[in-house]
Amino acid sequence: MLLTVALRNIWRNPTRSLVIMSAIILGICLGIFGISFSWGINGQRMRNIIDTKTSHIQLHHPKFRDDLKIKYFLPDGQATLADIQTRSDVKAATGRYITPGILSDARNTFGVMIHGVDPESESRVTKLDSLLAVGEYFTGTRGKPILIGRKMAEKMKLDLPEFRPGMPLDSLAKLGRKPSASLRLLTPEEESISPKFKIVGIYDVQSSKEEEVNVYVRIQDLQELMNTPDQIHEIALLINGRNQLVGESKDLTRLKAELIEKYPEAVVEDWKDIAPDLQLIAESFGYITYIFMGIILTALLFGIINTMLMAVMERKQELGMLLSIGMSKIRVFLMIMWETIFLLLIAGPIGLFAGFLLVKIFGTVGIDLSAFSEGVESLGVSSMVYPNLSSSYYIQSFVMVVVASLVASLIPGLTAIGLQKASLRILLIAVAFFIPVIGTAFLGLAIWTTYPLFSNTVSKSNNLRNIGLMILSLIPLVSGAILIYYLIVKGEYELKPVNSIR
Amino acid sequence: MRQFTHILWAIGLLILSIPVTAQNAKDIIRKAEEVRRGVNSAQGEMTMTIIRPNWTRSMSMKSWSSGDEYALILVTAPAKDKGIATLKREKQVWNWLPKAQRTMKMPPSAMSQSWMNSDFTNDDLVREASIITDYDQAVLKDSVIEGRTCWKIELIPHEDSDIIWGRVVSFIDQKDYLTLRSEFFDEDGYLVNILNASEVKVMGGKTFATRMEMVPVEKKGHKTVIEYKSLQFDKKIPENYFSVANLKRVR
Amino acid sequence: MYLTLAWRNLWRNMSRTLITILSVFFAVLLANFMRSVQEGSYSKMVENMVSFFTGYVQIHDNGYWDEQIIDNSFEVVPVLEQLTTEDKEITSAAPRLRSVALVAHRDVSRAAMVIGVDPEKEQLVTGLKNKVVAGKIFENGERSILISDGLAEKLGLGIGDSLVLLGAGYHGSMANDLLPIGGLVHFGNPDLNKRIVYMSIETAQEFFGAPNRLTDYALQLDDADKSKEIVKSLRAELDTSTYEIMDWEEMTPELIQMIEADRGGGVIFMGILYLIIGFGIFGTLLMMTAERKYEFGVLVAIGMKKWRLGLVLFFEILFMAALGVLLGSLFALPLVTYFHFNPIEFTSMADAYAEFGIEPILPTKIDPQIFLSQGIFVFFITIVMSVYPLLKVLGLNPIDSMKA
Repeated sequence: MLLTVALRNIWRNPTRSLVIMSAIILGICLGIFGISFSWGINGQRMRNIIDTKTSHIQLHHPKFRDDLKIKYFLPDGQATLADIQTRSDVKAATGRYITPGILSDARNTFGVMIHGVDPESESRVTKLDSLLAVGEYFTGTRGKPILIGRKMAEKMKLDLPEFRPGMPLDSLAKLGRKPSASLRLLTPEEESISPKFKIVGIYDVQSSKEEEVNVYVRIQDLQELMNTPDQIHEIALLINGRNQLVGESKDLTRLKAELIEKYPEAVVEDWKDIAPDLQLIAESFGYITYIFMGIILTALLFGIINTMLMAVMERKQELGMLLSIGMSKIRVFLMIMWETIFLLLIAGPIGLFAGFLLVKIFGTVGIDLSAFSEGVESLGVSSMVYPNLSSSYYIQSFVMVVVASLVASLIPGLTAIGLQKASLRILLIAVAFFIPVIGTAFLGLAIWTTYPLFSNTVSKSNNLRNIGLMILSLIPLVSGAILIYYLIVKGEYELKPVNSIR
Repeated sequence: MRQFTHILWAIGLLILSIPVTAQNAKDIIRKAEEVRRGVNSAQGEMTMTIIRPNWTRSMSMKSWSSGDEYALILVTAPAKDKGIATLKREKQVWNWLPKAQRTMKMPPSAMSQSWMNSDFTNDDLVREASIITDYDQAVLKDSVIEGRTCWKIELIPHEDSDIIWGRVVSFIDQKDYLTLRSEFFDEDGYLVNILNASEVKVMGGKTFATRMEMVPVEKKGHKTVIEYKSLQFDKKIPENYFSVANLKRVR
Repeated sequence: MYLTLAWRNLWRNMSRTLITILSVFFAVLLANFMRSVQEGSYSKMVENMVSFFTGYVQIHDNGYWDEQIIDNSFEVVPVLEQLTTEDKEITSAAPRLRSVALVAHRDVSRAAMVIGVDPEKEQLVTGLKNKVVAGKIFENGERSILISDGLAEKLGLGIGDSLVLLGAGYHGSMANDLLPIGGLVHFGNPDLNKRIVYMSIETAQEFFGAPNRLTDYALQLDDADKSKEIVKSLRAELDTSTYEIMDWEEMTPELIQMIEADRGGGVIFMGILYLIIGFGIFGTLLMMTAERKYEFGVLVAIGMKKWRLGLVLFFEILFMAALGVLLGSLFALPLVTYFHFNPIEFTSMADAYAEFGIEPILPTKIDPQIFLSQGIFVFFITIVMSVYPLLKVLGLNPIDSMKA
């Protein structure tokens, strides 16, 4: 019977129901979007590092990364690479020949890091081909091709108009003449050679520091010049796996362990070993992002609670009537709870779906941060963020908002039984609880949940779960406290249904 | 800044008049090379003056050389730099640092740096490219430099050579086959460096330009001048004179 | 008249008023907190980077920044040394003479950055002493030097050994010397750690043959936000044809870019927050309108003009918004202040941060600007949201609205 009444009530006042439902829908939808965006932005920071710099795993000679001497070739490099490339858990792998050198043109000289790469497999690992702003990817010359960074091109005063990625590359014509650059290299015999290369392309990774230092040539050109056929210094690989977005998964740990065991003569490192400073920067930003999420979720909860409180205010006459005709307080309370549950049942799935759509749309189109801020191109940070969320988080955000709404309806539900003068009192009590209990609890929550964030980076995925759990654990706390207060003050007043109808 | 290495290194260089008649560019260049390489060993004294917009610095030096391969230069003045010595052995360069009482081998990364803060680089000391095989030559019209009639020869590097200049224009004296002026252009046709040789004198029995001037055209007020005060040729200097051990001892 | 009426209405139904004020209150509180965390994180990042080397403001010889050679140094003059005593905003100033030099031991040589500093003054700007990991720092005028441990390892040198240095000295002289290593410093950035040499400013001046000269004069400020002002006043004070005065933004544009890049994400987070806030306020106002439908109906039925009613309602919302904003700001202040002085710590990452010489804390920023802008913005949102109840009132049908 109570169920039917509750259902009817929902239909009877569509405005109210709609407002509450849209609060819930918006809550779930924005909650999902917020989480997916923070995942997207953190994922993007790590992905930028993995995609353009470190890849997932790298293999080197034990001394190479420290000393960069040409003689530190990866033991059995070519065979190891062939082996790794055939593994099913490896998405792509490439071998590189790396040596420091001096690049010079007619006027200037620059210290550079020369990367001999295999154009085909390199493009699959670092998408080097897609980073080209101008020119061609190791083609278009009979000589030895070289790719240099945009900043280097500027320093060399290669006559290039200001260009941005995505802009029509009219300046391409400028590279028609393919300027020369001479590279001074030291062969394994410590002999200095200065072969000439043709600049066929200019890459743009939005980091002037890297663009100034890294140049790319074909690996076979370097191997020939150095007279060290088939030797490589580095293998970089991307793993095959669903969770590769965030760059830390069981797959990665497992593959790393397997490689360490299989190639004892090489040093096997994952991206965190290779770029600890970049990881640190990414994680500091990530940390702040999680604090933001805490704040946003708190705001969401207050928004819903306030709307619900107002909704009960609006119904005080109706509720007073129900009480005066003999309906018990507990039934009125239950009726309100049922109504909330029904509204949740309708709004929840809609919110979930809307959130899903929002994430899918922005996850496909991407959000271009450069639209919001000018300085995005720096530091190797791509300005595109692709919100992304695995399915379990939809359920979680849903649970979070459902719990928030139930908590929210508890207060109005309880208030409803008090009504009128008492309602003011209860409200004050509720407010008294809002600030100290919910307020501190939520701020504490926002901070607390981020604490374990970096203690064990592998378990980062647990943190959003923690937020959910924290909110769940808040229900007994908040509702319990309010109930106790309510019971304490309950004896102090008598409900006067007549007043409510007046 | 590559081809004038010889000028600096084969100190003085350039020699004797070999009478010639009409020639093609290749022959002229070859002759000039021969003239340059004609010197076996030389020793002498010179001053190097570095000119900058706000200051000028003069250094006196003693030098010894043997062919293109070996050379040793000792700074004798001013007092602050006295005793600093540079040794070139084939493609490598060492410095003797009197204050530190140590030798220091120039790492490859420092080879492109300036030599003794001048407009020459360490590279200029060691690099050599063959003008005969790396370039296509063409004789342009004659010009007169320092009262001497010169062939003006345009050198264009081969596509597959390791030369990064767009072209080099050399002015070779028709009488003594001295290279009196070289102009270095980048690939866009802009003039980058000029190397002038002047004050052709007979010194130590040979005719050569005793003053050399390196001008980085795009840097206003920058210039390095080397002047030979005295030179002796063909006084045999043993190879072991150009050793790291001797670098410490030479005075 | 309308104002009085509106004011009375507020008190007539305290609960309703409180709820509305509360929704604005939380909006302002959270927006302020979020912005303070955001800006605080940027300030901290700037502080970390700036105290790493550059300082907030630097004075150079005009042209030094573009061509960092020893010839572009300047002479120490009293007017520069007086800066710290004269200008209250400048807490300390570190004189430096630095240039690149080749350093060697036996047959191994590398290019290194040679930095001459005054150890005491440098301590105040970049905390050099905290970076010493072995041995001890030189005194003023002492010939012993500090080198980064990465460089020491590369060259196979330790404390007590001597380092050979060769560089371009002042006005074309050849700087060379052999200096004893007194201690090792460590930098988290592995690249930097391979090429740093510190010596006392006197030793550096002698080495480079540049007596009484400096390449840069790094100023430490009380307040990072003042750097623009300081630069301006210094430019007025000093001869700008002789000196160039730069702040950290000009010297480390990458840092600014990094912050700007992150601001992009921050804008979206703020956007989400505003959406939620806005909707919370909207929901509250909407339910309020629904609740008062009967009351409005009665008022219109007894002859009150709809626009007058609307005006009263508008003033009510105005009052509530103002109260909410005021209270929100008032409560946000202690919250932000607390987290400014008791910053959130990234305890579990402390080691990693220490490696890079960064404090693992995140203080909020106390900035009146933030409070002002967030207050105004939330107030503005509320006013915009009040359009709904106003439209509702203007389109009111008294008969319908008085039906139960």
